[in-house]
Amino acid sequence: MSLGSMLRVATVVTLIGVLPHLSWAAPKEHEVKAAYLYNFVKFIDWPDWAFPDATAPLSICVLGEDRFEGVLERAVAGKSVKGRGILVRKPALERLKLAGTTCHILFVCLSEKERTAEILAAVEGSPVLTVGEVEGFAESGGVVNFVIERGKVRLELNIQAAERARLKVSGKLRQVAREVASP
Amino acid sequence: MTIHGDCIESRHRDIRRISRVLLASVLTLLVGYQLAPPAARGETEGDIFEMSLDELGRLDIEVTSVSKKAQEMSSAAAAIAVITGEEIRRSGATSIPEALRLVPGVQVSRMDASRWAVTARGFDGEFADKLLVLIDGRSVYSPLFGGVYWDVQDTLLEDIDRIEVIRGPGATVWGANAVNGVINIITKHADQTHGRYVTVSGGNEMEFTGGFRWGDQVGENFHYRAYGKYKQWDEFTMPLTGADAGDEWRQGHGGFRMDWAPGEGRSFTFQGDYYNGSTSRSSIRTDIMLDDSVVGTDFVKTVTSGKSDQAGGNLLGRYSHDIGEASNATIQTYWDRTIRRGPMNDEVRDTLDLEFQNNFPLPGDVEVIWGFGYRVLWGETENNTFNMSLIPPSRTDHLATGFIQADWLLIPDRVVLTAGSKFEYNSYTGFEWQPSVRAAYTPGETHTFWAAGSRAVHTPTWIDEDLAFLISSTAAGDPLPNGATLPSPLAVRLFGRDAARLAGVTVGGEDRKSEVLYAVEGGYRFKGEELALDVAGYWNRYNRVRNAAMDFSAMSMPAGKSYFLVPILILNGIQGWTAGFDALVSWRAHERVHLSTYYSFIHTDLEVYAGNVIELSGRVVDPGDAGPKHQWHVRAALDLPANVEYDTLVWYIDEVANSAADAFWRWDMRLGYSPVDRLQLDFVVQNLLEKGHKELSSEVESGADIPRTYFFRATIEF
Repeated sequence: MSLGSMLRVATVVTLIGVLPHLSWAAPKEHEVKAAYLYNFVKFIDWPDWAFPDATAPLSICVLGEDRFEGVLERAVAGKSVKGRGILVRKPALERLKLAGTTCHILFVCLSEKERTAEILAAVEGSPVLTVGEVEGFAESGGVVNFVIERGKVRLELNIQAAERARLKVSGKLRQVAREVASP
Repeated sequence: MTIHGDCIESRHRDIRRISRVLLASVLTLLVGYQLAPPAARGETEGDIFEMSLDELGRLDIEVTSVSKKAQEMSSAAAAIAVITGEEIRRSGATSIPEALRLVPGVQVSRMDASRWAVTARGFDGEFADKLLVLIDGRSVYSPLFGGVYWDVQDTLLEDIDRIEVIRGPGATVWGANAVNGVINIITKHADQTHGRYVTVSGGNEMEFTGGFRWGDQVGENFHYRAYGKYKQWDEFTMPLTGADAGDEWRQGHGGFRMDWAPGEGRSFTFQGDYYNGSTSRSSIRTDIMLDDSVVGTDFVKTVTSGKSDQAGGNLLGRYSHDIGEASNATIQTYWDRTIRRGPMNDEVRDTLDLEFQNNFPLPGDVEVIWGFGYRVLWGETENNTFNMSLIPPSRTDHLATGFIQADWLLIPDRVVLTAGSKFEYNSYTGFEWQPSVRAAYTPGETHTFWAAGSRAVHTPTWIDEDLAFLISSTAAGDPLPNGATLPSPLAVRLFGRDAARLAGVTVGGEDRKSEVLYAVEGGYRFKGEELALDVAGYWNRYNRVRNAAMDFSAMSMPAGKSYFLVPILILNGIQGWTAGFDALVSWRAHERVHLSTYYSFIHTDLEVYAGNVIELSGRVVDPGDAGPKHQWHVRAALDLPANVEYDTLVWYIDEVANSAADAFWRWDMRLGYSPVDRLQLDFVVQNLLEKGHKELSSEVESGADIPRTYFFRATIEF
């Protein structure tokens, strides 16, 4: 057997041999969304006055019926970004309207679809990164929206909404997101 | 580095050793991977949280929620393929033409270190002239001969966002020369290339390539980058003889891009590039040189070196303005200078181009896109030999174009009809029109059926009009391409129409015309979550394809000379058809495994009804045998644990009769490892199966053997 034919056989083995074994599961949608939420902490700059002090934790608030099954809490537990710990909280909408309830990231679950406008109005002008998973969320004034495209979770970004919330969005995040604008 | 004698054996041993080790490691990794329990395969939740935004965006998910919105299906009614910057990186390609090998249905043949032939749907060859190639909206095909100088089309490959390829006519929007396809190379927006990037690679044939990029932003909306690149290739060897091909290549590139988006839908782009380098072709045919004892002094200017120098640059500015939600206007202008100084002649060319484009919606689900442009081309040449010259040596051409196309959403989410035409006025043939009608039917989100009919033209080029080329036979009794034998030593000069007139040679026949293509195409695309399928078939009818004929009735011997002049007329004497199809299957078998394969077939039936097909070398050939009939590619990209990537590409290319190139199998592979974030190490082997094979001959000289190549590459971002 020549080197050439050996290598050819090896290629076929390499290509075909692995295929039957590749049935392990793809990650779930909510896992990827949770990973994005965690990532946003690194790619968004909040103004200093959004925190009581330099070491105060950053809060990720989840509004509505989430499907994270604890993934988010487990992922951020014990992690810190830029010297701040990360908290996951689940406030009620009514609490959000109260001054002093601090959310840095507000993830609005699908269940709150009908209340989108009300929720966005509640945090309007505050340094809150609003994240949704409903078509049109970013257009209606949310900062980031998750959309499913071809079986992947992609991002829509409303940069004007980010500016209104005094958030600085890194070039990296702008690069991966598709920018949309309020009508 | 040059490979000689004993060295070859030791290198082979090295490569065998390297291949075995690599193969063994890959197999071990794969086997280990399969046997490992799911948790060890990086399937835990935590792993996802370590991923970058890019990686998250690429993850295929198991869709469980009801938030899944209608997937936007690419419903283009054309054979479109896109290769991404990521695919280029993973392929190990070191140049743009090598990256084009990834596109189904595109034929890429390397002829030596610095020269490639690239075509789609037939008419292959170094001077393949039926593609329109654009880099960031700047046309890079040479108006001298209609083909592309691939040796100078380069940039930092990492800055390429994607390459969009349309196989088949794209003339309605893109314009003349987009007969068999359009290649659109698009670099990244400057806001995507922040930071510093350095890449260094070296190996046996590609001795060194180094590149850097530096990008940043000023304020919120202004982004910029600058890059530089230098490459140096060793010479290849010639087939059969094993002699040095004398084709060593070195070249430097540098450039910048600035993007400014001041808001309100306005954006500005300003970019430019400069390059300088030299290639060699020691194998310039000697039989086209005449001995001065035979022909007299005006023929003699002996070529002593095959070295040629290339330099050039371009500046491009673009302003784009969104008008409301659904309308946009773009204006673009560029200036391009190309300088080539070769053993035969020197060429300096300037191109100034201005284009405007606007799209807007009309009531009734109609979207209109229209535009116009004007291009001026100044060309100047200097003949270093009598063998090839342009008469007159300089020329200015004008090209005015306009186009309009409408997309009509006949049945929302189901049927789109597209119709339009390009209209242009050029210096050679005057007015040309290039209409097309297309339809796409999308029953459901994932399936697209499409069909199209088009007319496209290939307008004459500078050489068709003004080239005088010497082909010679120095001995009496030599047979001529038309079957006659030479009465005495003879020089035959090929004249374009203008050149013949200026040289005082009587020319008959009709004026030059454009080559015309009528194309009927159709295809089907399926894009599922894991599986994608793309089949496109075509039938192309070509009329008035360029060829040439010797006119012996007008043979004359200039006073006091001992040679004859025979005009060779450029004719439009070929007609016929090509038919074929390309089929692509792409399967994301797993988030870490991407497999794809394509097969491409072409049948060519061209009839020469006037004149001959004579290569510049004087050889008569069948134009149907210029490229491979069958092509088959298999590609696999695997993400292994521990930040290891493995890519492999195996392909088969059928024989090319006109080039005396045999069918061949080729296997390329790349092993990538990222030990820490921002550092990437790669080992690439190309053409692993053979020490070399010929892919295509040039029309004027034999192609070199394309050798087995391996190199290491390190890239760092900081």
